[in-house]
Amino acid sequence: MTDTDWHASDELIARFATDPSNIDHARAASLEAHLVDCARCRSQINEHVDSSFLDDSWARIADEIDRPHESPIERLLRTSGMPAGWARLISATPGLRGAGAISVVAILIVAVLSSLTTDTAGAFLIFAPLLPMAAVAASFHPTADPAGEAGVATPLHGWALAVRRTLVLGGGALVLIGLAELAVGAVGVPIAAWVLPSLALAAGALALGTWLRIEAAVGSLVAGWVVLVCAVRWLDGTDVSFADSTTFALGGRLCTVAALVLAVAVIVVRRDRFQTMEVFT
Amino acid sequence: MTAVQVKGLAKRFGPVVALDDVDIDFEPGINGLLGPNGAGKTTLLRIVATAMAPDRGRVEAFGADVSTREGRLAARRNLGYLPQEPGFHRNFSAFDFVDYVAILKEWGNRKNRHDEVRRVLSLVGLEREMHKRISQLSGGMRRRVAIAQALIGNPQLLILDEPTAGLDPEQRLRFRELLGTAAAGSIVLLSTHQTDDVAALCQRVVVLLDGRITFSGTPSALAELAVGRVWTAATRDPNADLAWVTGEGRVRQIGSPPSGAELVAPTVEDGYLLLAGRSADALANPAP
Repeated sequence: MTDTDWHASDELIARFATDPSNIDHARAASLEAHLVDCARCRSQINEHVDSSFLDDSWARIADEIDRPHESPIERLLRTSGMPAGWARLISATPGLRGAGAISVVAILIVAVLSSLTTDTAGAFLIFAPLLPMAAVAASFHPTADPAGEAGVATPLHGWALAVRRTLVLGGGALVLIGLAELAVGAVGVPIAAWVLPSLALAAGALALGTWLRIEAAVGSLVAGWVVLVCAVRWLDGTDVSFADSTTFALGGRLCTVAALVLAVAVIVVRRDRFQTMEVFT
Repeated sequence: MTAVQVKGLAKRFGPVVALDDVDIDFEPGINGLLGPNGAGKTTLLRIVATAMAPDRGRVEAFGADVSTREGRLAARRNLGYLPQEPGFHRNFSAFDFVDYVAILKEWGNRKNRHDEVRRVLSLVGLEREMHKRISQLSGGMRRRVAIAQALIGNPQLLILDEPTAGLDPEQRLRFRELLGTAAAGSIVLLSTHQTDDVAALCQRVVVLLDGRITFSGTPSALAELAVGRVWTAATRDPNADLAWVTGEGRVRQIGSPPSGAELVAPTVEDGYLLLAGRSADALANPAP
């Protein structure tokens, strides 16, 4: 690039730099072509350009380039009204994908079990409540937080984040169970019969997890739940189907509500345990 | 007011005593923690960083008890923490990871947050790699990403657990330079096995052995513990506590020198090894 003999007037350069629409198209195009070859005019134009405007423009471009990729779940949470920061904190956890995988596997298990038994509703009622618990447990596994131990020593770590993750993952699992209910043809089972044990088991896992590793808490509750349901059905008599057994009837539901309240009370009382890295590890 | 006070801190993991009644204050400046593996350094740093609760004792940071919710929140707003084994979401880029931690640190405004993320990544020399996935970065680069997240917001209390592990000599030098400027006016607690890092960086060194503080003072005071106890010879003295062959082919020895021994000026490492050796002797030959 070399300078040419002709140079644009200072007035033309000023108009071009501040508001190019003031110049007719032909002159603007001509000047633009000239500037490519003329270092002197390029240096003159710099004097008329608002550098803060350029800096701001560059900052906006850099910000868009640097902006982390938004996952569909993050977008869903944000568009549903959740502040962008919280949406990212919740959606970024690998536990969310783990919970999704668990949900799909669980639905498949329920479908297979349902095909093996005539008591489809019974199979659904036994296994469906375990799903939200597994999803919540996946989100609280020590590997679930992308920031690892460094994230523990931050102001937003702890109770508030734990509650939000639980609500998102537990709620998501409940939606999947609803879809599974349709898929396995167990329609007709009262919603309370599976939602209440789902909530109680998920809350129970969190409550027990303030003492035990999350895997141990979940394992204990899975075993306890299956034993309880089978034992109650055996006491009811083998001619009674699982769906009609006391566990899922009114009396059982009241007991489930009591267990749920107890678990929530334990979580609230021991909520400080969520502040350190020791919980669930 | 003392910036960080540790009083009567105790922590056990089953039968293992990690910390045993530790009392210590930390003032602004770089404080190095030395000690063998299992001495309690990481446990002490985790408790001061509010990542772990002690069995007994308390930590006060900037006048607030961190065992209370308010005190813990106030402390977390003023601290940066590099754990010994930082966990990474490997699908994150370096930028995504530091941005994620910045959100956890209440940087709500996206533009300000991204500016800060770029600043700290530049401080550790990762401008060009900031958009690479963490899984594609070398171990040293990952360490620098972890250091960057600890520097977000120029924290008043910077807790670094073995920050130079995995860094090559040039990166370690750069880290020393960075810490000297980035941490000016802050309290830095730095755990390391590198005694030369302590000698080069720290205003104060604390030696932890078996969960107890056995020394607290300047690096030169630690080195002075070994004055008259370090000598070199052509062969190993059977009475020396510790001995090793140097690059020059001489045997450097620590302990009670024989008469006429060729005494040498001790280093921080000599002072530390002397302390650690005494502790090992005490374990092997407990007092009746």
